[in-house]
Amino acid sequence: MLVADLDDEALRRTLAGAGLGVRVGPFTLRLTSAQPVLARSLRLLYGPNPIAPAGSFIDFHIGVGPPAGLRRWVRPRIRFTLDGVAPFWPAPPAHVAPLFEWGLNWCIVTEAHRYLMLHAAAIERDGHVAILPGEPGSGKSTLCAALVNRGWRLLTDEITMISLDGRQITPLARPVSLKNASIEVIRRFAPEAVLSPPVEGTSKGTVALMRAPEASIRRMAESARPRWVIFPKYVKDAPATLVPETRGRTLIALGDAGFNYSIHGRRGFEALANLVEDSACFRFSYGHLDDAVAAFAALPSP
Amino acid sequence: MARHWDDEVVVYVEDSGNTHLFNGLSAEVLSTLAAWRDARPATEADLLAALDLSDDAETVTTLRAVLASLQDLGVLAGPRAGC
Amino acid sequence: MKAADALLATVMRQPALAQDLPLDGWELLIRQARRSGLLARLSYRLNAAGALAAAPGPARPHFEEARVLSDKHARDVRWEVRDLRRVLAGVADRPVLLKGAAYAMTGLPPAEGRVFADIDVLVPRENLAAVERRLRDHGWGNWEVDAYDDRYYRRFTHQIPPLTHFLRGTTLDVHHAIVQPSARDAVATRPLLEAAQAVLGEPGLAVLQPTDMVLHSAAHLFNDGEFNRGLRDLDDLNLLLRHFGEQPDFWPALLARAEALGLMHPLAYALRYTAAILATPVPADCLAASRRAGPGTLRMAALDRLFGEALAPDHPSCRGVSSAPALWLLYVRAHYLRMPLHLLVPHLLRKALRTEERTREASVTDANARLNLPGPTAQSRGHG
Repeated sequence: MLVADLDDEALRRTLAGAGLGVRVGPFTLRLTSAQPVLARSLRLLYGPNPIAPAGSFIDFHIGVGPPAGLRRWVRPRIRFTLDGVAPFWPAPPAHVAPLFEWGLNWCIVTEAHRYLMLHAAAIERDGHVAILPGEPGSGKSTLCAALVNRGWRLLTDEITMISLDGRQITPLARPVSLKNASIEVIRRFAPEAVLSPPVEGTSKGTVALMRAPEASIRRMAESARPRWVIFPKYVKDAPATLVPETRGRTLIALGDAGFNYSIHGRRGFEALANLVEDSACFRFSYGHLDDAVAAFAALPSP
Repeated sequence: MARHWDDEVVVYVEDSGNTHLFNGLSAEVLSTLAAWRDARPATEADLLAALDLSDDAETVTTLRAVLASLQDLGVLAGPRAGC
Repeated sequence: MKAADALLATVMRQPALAQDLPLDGWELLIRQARRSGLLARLSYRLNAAGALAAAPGPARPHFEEARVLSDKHARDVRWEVRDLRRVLAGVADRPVLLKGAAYAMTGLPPAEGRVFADIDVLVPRENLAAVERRLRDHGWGNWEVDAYDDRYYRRFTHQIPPLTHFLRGTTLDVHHAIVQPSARDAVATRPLLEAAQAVLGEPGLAVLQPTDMVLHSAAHLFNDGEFNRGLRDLDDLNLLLRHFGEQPDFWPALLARAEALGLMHPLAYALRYTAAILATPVPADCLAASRRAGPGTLRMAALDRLFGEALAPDHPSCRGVSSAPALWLLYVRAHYLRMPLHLLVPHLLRKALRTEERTREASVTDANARLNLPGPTAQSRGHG
């Protein structure tokens, strides 16, 4: 049974009662909330996600609700909690979709050390994964959103989870975060994509979330092997250019993009070394999404 | 805790938890020493010969500087390694 | 007693019981342990009892993750301590390590699966100024402590304000006593330093002798008013007592030393609550002797109720509305022990107003600064 199979009433009631069990990638969440805004957001962005059967082991107990000390807030506010602890300041209810994503990011990167985690997108074709590290100015999320609307499967746009032998990427298939001008760009590039209403006034400007393609969500249990590491860089009007990068520099750059690379110590090094050894590594600059899509389609099979 | 690729060497140092990338002369020194590891203790002269370097003062100074910095980083054991 | 009834405490006492837990029991156990800073330690304990193999599949990665973190902490502490020794050479040639740092460098049982927060070190008061200057010259400072708190630390506690390393973010607590000099029952530092022992294999480092290590741990837990790691600190005591207590002459020595240092009350609490909550095998005569020297019956009953709340796991399943008054009372008590009465009330008022703001700010800044993530207070910085 999927989240979308519950009608509005049942969804709200479950969330406000015992909580809704949802599978997101390898994790099972239990969500508790009396906020109607969350129910709507979940239906839109997590509709195709499986509901966890009753009695499942819950990895993250998540709440979205009003903050403690309510009287100090003049306007309504909601906050994200993990097992009762709130990592962020409360936000207006209209921000529920990005708040939920930031909160879940926080849960995963602070806890999920069963993986080596990188700040990178990961997409898959024919069983081969391309990792796209998210350096500032990369346009990674926009590029990722475009590619997964042109045949690539979405594993993740933000947190790449690597097995500790460096040979498997585990999907999350969560919404892709778009900001400011990218929102309109993707709307035009992929009119059929499911987008949340834009949320203004966040610390990142205006943010909209693109639901992962249904096929990507259906295949959230399928890990795949990393075969390419491609560092994207958006350069206005530039032609799509792939330039090989050395393995050594790639390893160092991936370590820098790590959320928990130093926590794993030697094992993290071995994981990245194995990953890099088995991958073709490139720097990629592009100015137009169509060119980028074509360049990715033309990537030689490993 | 090192990997060698073409003319690069990446090393993870247990003590400091740092990861280093070496290329050029540093990488060649590390690769050469790694190949010799269990065979015999290395002397400066051995290294110069293996790397096909002349033994003039400037080259020797450079080689010593490279060795010293590798020791400082904890990549090579030596009098200045670790803390 | 409430703390003893918590699932986590029950399993810590008898790890083999975990094998009979249903799936949601394992889940609750893990949640309580994580919040108490005991998840890694619990996993080692369960493993030693042969019970970890019974953990359900989805539960196992949670234990593994906790071990990964505690391994990292252990590496970091060792590095920091060695760096500290180097930095302090010449101004404090044998700094005495306390608490976590001491356990890590000596390999004592509480080191296993520990999550280390700060480095604690004890130096003679006469070296304090020089030590502080040297530390500040090497990147240690207190960037967030305001003038009021600074004065408070220096005057009323047994340490200078906590120092943070500007680059690494590690926190260092430099103590000049184990109980504040301004307290009603001041404890002399000199005997502790004189009895300190060298650390095997680590020249230039020292730790308190076994009885003093136990007494310091007890004084810290029962007098300092901080209980967010209460059960973990109690378990440190449990492990130390079991380890040192294998020598039969340890127990009379412990009592005698507590008497000599004026720490009979914290010892009485330590023995009573480790025995009650963690089943520490304290010899009956020792328990009786410390009880006799401890507080009267009524007072002990009142403290049982308060500590029963405070030593429970810091998780919503154990700490609820009833805990807040208990925790507040114990906090007040800790300051009562520390400050003259006429200064106590204004201080507490100020603390009450500022604590909530600071805690929230700190956790947000900390969370966002450590991670390369967007958030309501966006901070982009490299991760660790």
